[in-house]
Amino acid sequence: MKKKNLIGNVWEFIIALFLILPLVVTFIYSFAGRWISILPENLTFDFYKEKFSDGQFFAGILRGIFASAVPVILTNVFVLLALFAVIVYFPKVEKYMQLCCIIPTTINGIILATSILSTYAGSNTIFSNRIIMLICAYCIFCLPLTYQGIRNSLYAVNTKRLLEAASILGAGEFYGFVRIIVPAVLPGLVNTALTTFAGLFGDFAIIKIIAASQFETAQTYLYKNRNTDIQAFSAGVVILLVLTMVINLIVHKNAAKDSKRRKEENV
Amino acid sequence: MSYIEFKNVKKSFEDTEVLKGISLSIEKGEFISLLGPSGCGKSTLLRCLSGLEEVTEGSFILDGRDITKDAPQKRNIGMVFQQYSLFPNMNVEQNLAFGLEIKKVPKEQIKKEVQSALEMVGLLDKKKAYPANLSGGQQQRVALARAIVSKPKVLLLDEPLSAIDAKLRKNLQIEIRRIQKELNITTIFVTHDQDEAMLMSDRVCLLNEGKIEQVGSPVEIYTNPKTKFAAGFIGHYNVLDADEFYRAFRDEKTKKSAIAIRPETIQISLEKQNHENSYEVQGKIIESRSVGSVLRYHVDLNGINVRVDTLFRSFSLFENGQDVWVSLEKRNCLELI
Repeated sequence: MKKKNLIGNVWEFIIALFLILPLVVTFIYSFAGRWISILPENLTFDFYKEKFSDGQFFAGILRGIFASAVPVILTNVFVLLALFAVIVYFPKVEKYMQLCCIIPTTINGIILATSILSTYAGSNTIFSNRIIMLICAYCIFCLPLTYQGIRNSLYAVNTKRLLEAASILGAGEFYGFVRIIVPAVLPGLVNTALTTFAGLFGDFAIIKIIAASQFETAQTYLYKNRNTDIQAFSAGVVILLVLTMVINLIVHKNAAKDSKRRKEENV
Repeated sequence: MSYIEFKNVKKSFEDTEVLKGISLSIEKGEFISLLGPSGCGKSTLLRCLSGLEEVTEGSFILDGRDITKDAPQKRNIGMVFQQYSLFPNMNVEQNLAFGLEIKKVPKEQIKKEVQSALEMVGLLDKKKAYPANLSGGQQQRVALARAIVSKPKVLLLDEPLSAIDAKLRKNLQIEIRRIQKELNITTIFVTHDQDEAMLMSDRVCLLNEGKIEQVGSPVEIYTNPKTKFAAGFIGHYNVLDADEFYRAFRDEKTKKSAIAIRPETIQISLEKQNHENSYEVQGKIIESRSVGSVLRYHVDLNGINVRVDTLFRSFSLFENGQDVWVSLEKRNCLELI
């Protein structure tokens, strides 16, 4: 048993090392000053200072936040409303909704982006606008996770029963939805939103295919300038990585709090 | 006219008829239990009365007004659900104030009403607690307080104690009854537990397969069941059809479809008792089991298995396989419809 555990731990360590090593090297490289032998001669914040004073990089981050936040908000609002209606009024339709929402998991992001581009690029409709095209593509991309997260939250709080209790106390359905259901599912909703946001914010492939020429995010900006200064590029990558990590940490902390609350509820 | 009237209430879900014409009258201030096995339609009947389900046919009259078509919000009914259904994002005080705020009751009065309802259920010190931080019993008491705080015309309790452990359940049964009497609020209580129904209710309405089997006071239903189902469901009666009764007690064949005999009205002894107006037959003990303070024997009477309950006393212990005399007063044989 102990031997099996040891082998397992060694494997875990090797895989972790394999995944973390590039990040560690990038991290060190972003701080390295002169580096001509095995180890850097000195460490410096110069590349970070350079990145923090780079207006284009920050504008790229803000664009990235915009391009990730808008689809997340749209998807959350529409899925929440649709799922609420399905669970409360049309439970029989749920299997079809689930099917529609899960389909995007079977499509590779690059294929999805290419298909959307070839379908709508020259259509002369509102969807031929690259930013709208990107937002719609992102909406499809984050649909499965959003659907699953919101569905779990709505079932966990027993939406139908809460709404019935509210209506017996005199609340209309919309009032019950706004005062009871939304606040009750909000922790789960925020977690799902942050997870999908982190996923979209870290995306490079879809945005490059659909809107790189017109809508430069931090990722596409870094990619474009990757050969001009590799260390500044590394600092940029670390900044983006830290941002994504902060979001994931918030999600993790919220999820842990939520799980503790549910355990207490069950006790 | 009664305070609440169910008039030929029918409810179907697609092709399945769940309620098959329920008619019932309930007086003001009465505590009535809807008792029956799972799936008999008792919760559906309650949900129809509350407006959470629409009836297929029939009507409800509450305090002289037909409320059949009213939305749940308009019926002025309080309800406690099996799973509490407290709002998880609100603390106890906010849960209780919710209904009053909707009715636009002034804030000062809301405060007073909430305070008084919490005092009634003994949870004044928990008013700032969230449902997640309360025990099952406390949550159910909050749900009860929330249902009564807005002074509804009728209080509906849908198996409110089924998720609570046995000891706490006993306490809550007493507490619910106390509060109901204190407020003199008309209450309909759904349960599948006959002991609970018997203990708490002024009247019991026994339901089976969407129909009322019998309505009456707990004593009346216990001592005088009218149907085979009522006899079998209440009090663990021995229900023997005419043929079986004839074989077991060697009596003339009865014209009634069945005879019900309470297990505790049968006596067993080693010698013949020669009581008047009694059946006295010989039988053999085939099984004995102790159920708390009661010894439950299964006695074979000419091939018919009859249950007999005696108090757990040393002089009334019999061995399996022992031959005994069974004595039953004729007046304890209830003829069923």
